[in-house]
Amino acid sequence: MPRLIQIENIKTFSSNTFRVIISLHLLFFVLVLLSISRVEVSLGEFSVSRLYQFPDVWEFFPWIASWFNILLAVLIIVLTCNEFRYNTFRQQVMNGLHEGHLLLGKIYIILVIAVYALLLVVVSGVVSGSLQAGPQSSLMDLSGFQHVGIYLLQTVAYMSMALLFAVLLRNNGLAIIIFILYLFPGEVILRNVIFPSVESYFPAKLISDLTPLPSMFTSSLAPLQGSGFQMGTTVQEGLTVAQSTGFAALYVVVFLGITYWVLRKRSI
Amino acid sequence: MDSDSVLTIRALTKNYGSLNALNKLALNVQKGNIYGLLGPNGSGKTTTLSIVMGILRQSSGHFYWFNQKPDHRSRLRIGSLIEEPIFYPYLTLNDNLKILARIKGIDDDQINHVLGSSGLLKRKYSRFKALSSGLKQRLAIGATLLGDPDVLVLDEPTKSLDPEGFSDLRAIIQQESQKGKTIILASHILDEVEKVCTHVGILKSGELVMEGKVEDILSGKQVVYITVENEDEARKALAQCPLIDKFELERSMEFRIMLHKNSKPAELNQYLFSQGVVVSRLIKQKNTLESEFLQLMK
Repeated sequence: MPRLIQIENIKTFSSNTFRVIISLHLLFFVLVLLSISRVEVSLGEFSVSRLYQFPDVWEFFPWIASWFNILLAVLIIVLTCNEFRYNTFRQQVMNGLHEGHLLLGKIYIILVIAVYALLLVVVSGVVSGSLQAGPQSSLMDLSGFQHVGIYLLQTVAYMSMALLFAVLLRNNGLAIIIFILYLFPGEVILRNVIFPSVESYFPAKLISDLTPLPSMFTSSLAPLQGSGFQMGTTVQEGLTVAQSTGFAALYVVVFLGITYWVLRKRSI
Repeated sequence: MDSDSVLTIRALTKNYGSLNALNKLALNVQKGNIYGLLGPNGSGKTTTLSIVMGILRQSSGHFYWFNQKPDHRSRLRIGSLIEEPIFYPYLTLNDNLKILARIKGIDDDQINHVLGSSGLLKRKYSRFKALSSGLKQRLAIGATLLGDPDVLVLDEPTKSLDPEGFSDLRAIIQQESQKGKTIILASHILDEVEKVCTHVGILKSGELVMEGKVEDILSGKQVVYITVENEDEARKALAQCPLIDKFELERSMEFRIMLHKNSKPAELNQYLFSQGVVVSRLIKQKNTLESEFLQLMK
């Protein structure tokens, strides 16, 4: 395993694609957080500034970060499809790697990127929470921190799904387009039109709903719904948090299992 | 299986839809052989090598490396170059070879040696994409030696090489062979194969049509061309000639004749004279791999 880690480190961290997409991810996340922080909205108990304070920051920041998971998924698609484009997977198999090693290398990169995303949320959360600490917010309140852990699972799940698309399609453009089309409208059509009864169990919805709209929105703004106010999203219905995370973890295993099967079955 | 067997292929078949790329191919490469795999385009050379190197799945049949079922551990003992040099274009030569060294489980010390022997030490920190195609090929050939593998599998290794590179490659092959390494070489360049290989297998439409030692093939039957003044008389005489294996009309008044192994062209000339056939020209063809190959491909 250490040699696989070294191999992945050499090829990934020197890649311009990696540097550009990670920089974009960081930039977008920070810009969006800064932009929203300048909005001054206060409705009942709801106020934007509270979203940047402990403990709400642990729910709000993962939710914002989840908007950019698509970038991390695209990164995994590009890194993996490039291996097929340059035929480097082929050469590595000829040189003595097993197909399982190829998969392990990519799982390692998924975990590295997920930890980066986690640290981004944690560090920005700590900074924001500390800076915004008001009389009503306590210093380093970790209640609700489980949302950050769930966000970690969400990034891993999205990237595992992206890895499967990359290994199946082997072409950057095609894999990115099909992956995005699957997320929207592909799965939306499947779950709403064809299988509405099991809607909550579809992978993209289940994974997306791991980081629902922060509870402050739902609790504070729910009374306004009757007066024509529409919330942008809803909290996952029908499944408990434990069930959702369990199913998401199961999906990760299934995606990686199918990826391994495809790598073993098809010519490299 | 023979204990000295390095690669054994049994009934290997590969179909691409309705196209039969390999048809029950069987061959055996022994330890220390320099085995030339010959064949025209589309004969199945690259398909064969891709299957035995684990990057293409066969439709049926088996192969064994070192008398064992193949797995990634057997490939660690093989240095391979199939079709084209494959490296990360954005990485330096040093980083590309580091990746290979990690896979082979060897120290980075050997990287400089490989770069030096490929004449690329000064380009150690150049990106792979900045190299010319000839230098890329040199690097790929050098990289096959990293980790001192027991076997080299080289598919068209002379592609893009200049005459110097060509000569260096021949030296590498001979040097590695002297160390007891086994080399499997697929090539179009028959002259080159004839110079370096100890054994050849000739593929045609996915089937092995000839296999053997190069010296046996070259010391085989002598071919002569005769030009006569009377085609019918010559044909009658040749049909009854005890010295020849077979003959055919090459063009008007010219026959291609394959003599029996111990027959000599002078004896044929004498026989034809005794039969009243006037031979205006007799040419002995030097027996080359190329002549054998072209004859097989007819």
